[in-house]
Amino acid sequence: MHDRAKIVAKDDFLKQNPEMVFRKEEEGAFLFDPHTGNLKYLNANGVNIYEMCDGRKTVSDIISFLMELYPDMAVEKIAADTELFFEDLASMQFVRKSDKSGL
Amino acid sequence: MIKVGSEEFPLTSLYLYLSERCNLRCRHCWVAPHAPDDRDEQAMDLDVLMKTIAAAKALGLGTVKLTGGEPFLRKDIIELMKFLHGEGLCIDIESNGTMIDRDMAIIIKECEVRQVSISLDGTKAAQHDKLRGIKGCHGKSVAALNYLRAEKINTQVIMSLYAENIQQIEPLAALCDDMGVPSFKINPVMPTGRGEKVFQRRENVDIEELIRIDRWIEAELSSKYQTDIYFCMPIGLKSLHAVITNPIYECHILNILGVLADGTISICGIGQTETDLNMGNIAMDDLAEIWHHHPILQKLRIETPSQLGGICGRCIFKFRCLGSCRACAYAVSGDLRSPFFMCDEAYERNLFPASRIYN
Repeated sequence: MHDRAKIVAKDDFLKQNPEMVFRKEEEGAFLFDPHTGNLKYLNANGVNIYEMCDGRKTVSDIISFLMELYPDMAVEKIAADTELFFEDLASMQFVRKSDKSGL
Repeated sequence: MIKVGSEEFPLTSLYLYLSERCNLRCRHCWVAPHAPDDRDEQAMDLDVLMKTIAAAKALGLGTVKLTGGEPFLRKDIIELMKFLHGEGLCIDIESNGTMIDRDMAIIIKECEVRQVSISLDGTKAAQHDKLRGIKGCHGKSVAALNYLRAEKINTQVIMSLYAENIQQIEPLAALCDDMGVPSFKINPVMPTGRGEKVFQRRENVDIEELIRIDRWIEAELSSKYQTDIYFCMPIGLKSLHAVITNPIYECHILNILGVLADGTISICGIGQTETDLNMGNIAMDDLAEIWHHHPILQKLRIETPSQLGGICGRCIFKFRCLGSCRACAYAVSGDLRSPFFMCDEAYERNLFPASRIYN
């Protein structure tokens, strides 16, 4: 089986897609695409990571930040999980790539 | 361009309302069937029904639900079950259980029925019999569950919830657990069919109370019993935890058709009371033609969920929920796009979670 081609590279700057609906609740949040109906649940960690997508941080920046935040976790796992998370968000258009200015 | 053909919408389920009669007189019944001796039933011909089912397989049919009225009032139900089994179709049955004896349970087992749902509104026979309108029916329904469980048939208890039997939720959960019934589903009464009068008499459960019950079941009751307890409430009103961890019963209205006892084709059993939603009859009309081209289905496919009105149109779950019960929405308002009554009431009373509303 072939791996799906990656959409997101480690040096990509990511920003939230303003056309998507992001709604926080007590235990997490939902991302909703009103055009397609795509719906994704984010747990508290997912919310934190999603909120870091301000267009000024690369995927690597976010992974580095998470490594500092969770020093007991294996760095490979943090990197792999985060990349997978962003692939998922990007494939559903919940995040977009941006240039360094955050646009 | 929106595609509305069967490629986009396979007909995965047929709901067969095998009898328009019922031997009970349930106060809330949404299809309001006739009594067994009320009149001669115009029953659809079994051969025609079998041909229709065979034709539906080409449209994607995988599951057939046998319901009613009381489906076991139909004398050739055994022949029908054997036919469905032979066709490799998944069979579900909804019954009040009063006509299921040991022999019938054995036949149900032989036909490998996936699930038999039995109506039971509590553990108190007198209260159940009062809600169901016939003295002695509680004992027969419980006996049916015992016969079915003895054959190790997958069973479900369905409780219709009124204000007056709220206190019976836990005893009934305990009874299901004792009997080894795997699933216990609680359906709040809806304002359709005879249920309309239940609402007029204010015997239904208030929306705030429904939400409280849902959270209580989730937080306390579910962990006390092995039986899976499911409270029927639209996903938009469920807790976030329930949304992401529990299976949610949702009506796949875009993938089903109902065939009434006389062969009338409708979107589901609502056709018995809302005749505007009837689209033909299996004795005269081609099921595939109706499935592909009937204006009611075309309209439903275009409007659901993108053109739902009110709170349903603004809910982030609308693509998943499809507006909960469209039949109920139609019965209440005459419009298949109108909001589901529970969500509408919750929204009007500021009980609908703001985080799930957009636009």
